[in-house]
Amino acid sequence: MTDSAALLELRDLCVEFDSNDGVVHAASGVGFRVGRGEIVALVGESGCGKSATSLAIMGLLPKPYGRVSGGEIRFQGRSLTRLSETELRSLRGNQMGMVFQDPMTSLNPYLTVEEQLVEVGTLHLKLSRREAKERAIQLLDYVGIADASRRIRSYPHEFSGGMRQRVMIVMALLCDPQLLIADEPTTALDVTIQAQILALLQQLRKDRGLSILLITHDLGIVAGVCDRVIVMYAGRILETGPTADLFKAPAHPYTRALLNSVPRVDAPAGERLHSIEGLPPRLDRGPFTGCSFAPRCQHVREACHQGEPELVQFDGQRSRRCIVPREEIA
Amino acid sequence: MSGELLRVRDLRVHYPTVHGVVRAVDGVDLTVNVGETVALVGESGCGKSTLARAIVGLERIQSGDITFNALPQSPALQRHTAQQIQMVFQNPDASLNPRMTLASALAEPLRIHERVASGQTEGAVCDLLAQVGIDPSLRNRYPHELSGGQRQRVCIARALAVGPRMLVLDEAVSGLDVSIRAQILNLLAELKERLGLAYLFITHDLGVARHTADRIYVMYLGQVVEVGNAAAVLTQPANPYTQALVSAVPSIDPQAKRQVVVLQGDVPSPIRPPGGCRFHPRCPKVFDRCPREAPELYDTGVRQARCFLVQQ
Repeated sequence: MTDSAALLELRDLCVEFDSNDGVVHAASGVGFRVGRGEIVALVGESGCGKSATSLAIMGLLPKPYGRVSGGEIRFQGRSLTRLSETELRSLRGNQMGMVFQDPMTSLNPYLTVEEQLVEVGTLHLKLSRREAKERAIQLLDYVGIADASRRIRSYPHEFSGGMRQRVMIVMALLCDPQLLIADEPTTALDVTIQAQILALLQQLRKDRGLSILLITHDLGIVAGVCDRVIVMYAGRILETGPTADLFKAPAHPYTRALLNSVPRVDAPAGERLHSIEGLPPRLDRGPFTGCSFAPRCQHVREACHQGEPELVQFDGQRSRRCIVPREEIA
Repeated sequence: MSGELLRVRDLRVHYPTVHGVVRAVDGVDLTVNVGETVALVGESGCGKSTLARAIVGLERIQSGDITFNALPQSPALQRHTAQQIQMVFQNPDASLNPRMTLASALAEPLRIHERVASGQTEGAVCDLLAQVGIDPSLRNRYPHELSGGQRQRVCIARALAVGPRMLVLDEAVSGLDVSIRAQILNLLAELKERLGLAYLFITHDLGVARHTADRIYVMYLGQVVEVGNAAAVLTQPANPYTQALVSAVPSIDPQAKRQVVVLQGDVPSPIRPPGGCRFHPRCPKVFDRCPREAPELYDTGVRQARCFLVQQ
């Protein structure tokens, strides 16, 4: 077995989608690790490839339009790309769970919460219906749903948005997974409810040693709960590093620009925001000749158009895909 | 230029439902001055969007009154008010007709409100597009050919077509990515300066409120719970709900040591709001008086807050 510390490891992952305009390269050469008990953020704007990457890990790319076209996904040292469909199915659910953005579209509105949670227990854990229900009630109670043994009989629409997201988290936790992939789990929620869910995720890591891959566009959430950050743009990783270091001294102009464009509660008003002019590049036009961010970059220079920079390690734990000297960016 | 542009007095908007009457807006006072930016913040169901829609005449009001330029809102003055207050909605995909080109979408309000002579429509459309930073040569495109940020620019241009003095922006930057959101916020700041517009910004994003607003109104369950200078309300909130709301906003500074007040439970139903102070069942500072009496908005100089703790 390889490095036991890394629970999940992606190597040079490429994801493609077929579209009317040709093949979209949603993720190109994405590689990173998630260690045990670690909370890692995958951040970026719409279309940067963060969701495509997470769907590939879960084996949920829409067939036949989406596919992994290269690279490798390793989980607990085993390569997922080489497993059969049956082996994969037992691994998903059991060892890794996923929570989506909108709990209303991921829960079945016609079934009670009990029916949906018990199904997981009987199917994946081979429990009896009674055991499965007991386990579900325990977990509902653990995630903070009061009066769980009565509420479990409710339908999803009888729950509030925050409560529905807790039900989704219970569904993912039923099989006691080691990895939780949370794709924008709080985007549809109000801030005070978001704070409750984020506190719950941190509690899960503490109590159960759960590893979490948190996919988000919200840099505030990243700063608050994540140990490490992976910044994606145009299907590529542009920068990675420990949260504190990356926020204090971003080493890629895109990361810097993203941080500058967030209006802050704790900053003086009235200043002009630093916006990033232009739009992200299209991903259906073949490989880039230079850096993918060059057309929008403030620090752009001749060499940026000559070839795409490599993702280079520095300071031990950090890496970046940029040739501009770091002093000019931070 | 100063003085009062919009005044809302003791406004109530109630919806009858099969479960009972939803008191979406329940006694709200609000003013917006000429050239001022006012933010209306709160969580889902607090009544901020209903209030905004009532102001532009899209909701039937139960009681209270809305005056604009010291003129009361009435069906007879609908056309006059429509030219003065325009609204920009959250989702440009839903507010632009997918089968109309940008030129026809912008020409429609110009024609209905008789803003330009018929021969000059084309030129006026080009001016409007240029004003919001869209190349006028794109005027014969359809909405789906534009990006989300560009579509929101078109919605702003359409609102500006009738020459309003005030824009009501209902979560107008919420659906956009951060980098695009910053572009639109900067555009709004430029337009405000150039045209002397007043803004009523409806948002759940306190960062956006802090960045844009002169004054902030915080709503909870149909009522204003705190109002005042933006910096005062967001840096030293006085109402415990505002305090919890501000503390729950994730900061992009990982070094920031903040005490997050995690509120218990969800917002109660606006059909049967709790008696006394409406926030008391979730309030971390609740005491014996709160469930019994309803607090007023008490003045503390830089702000007004609806809490007995402020009164003392």
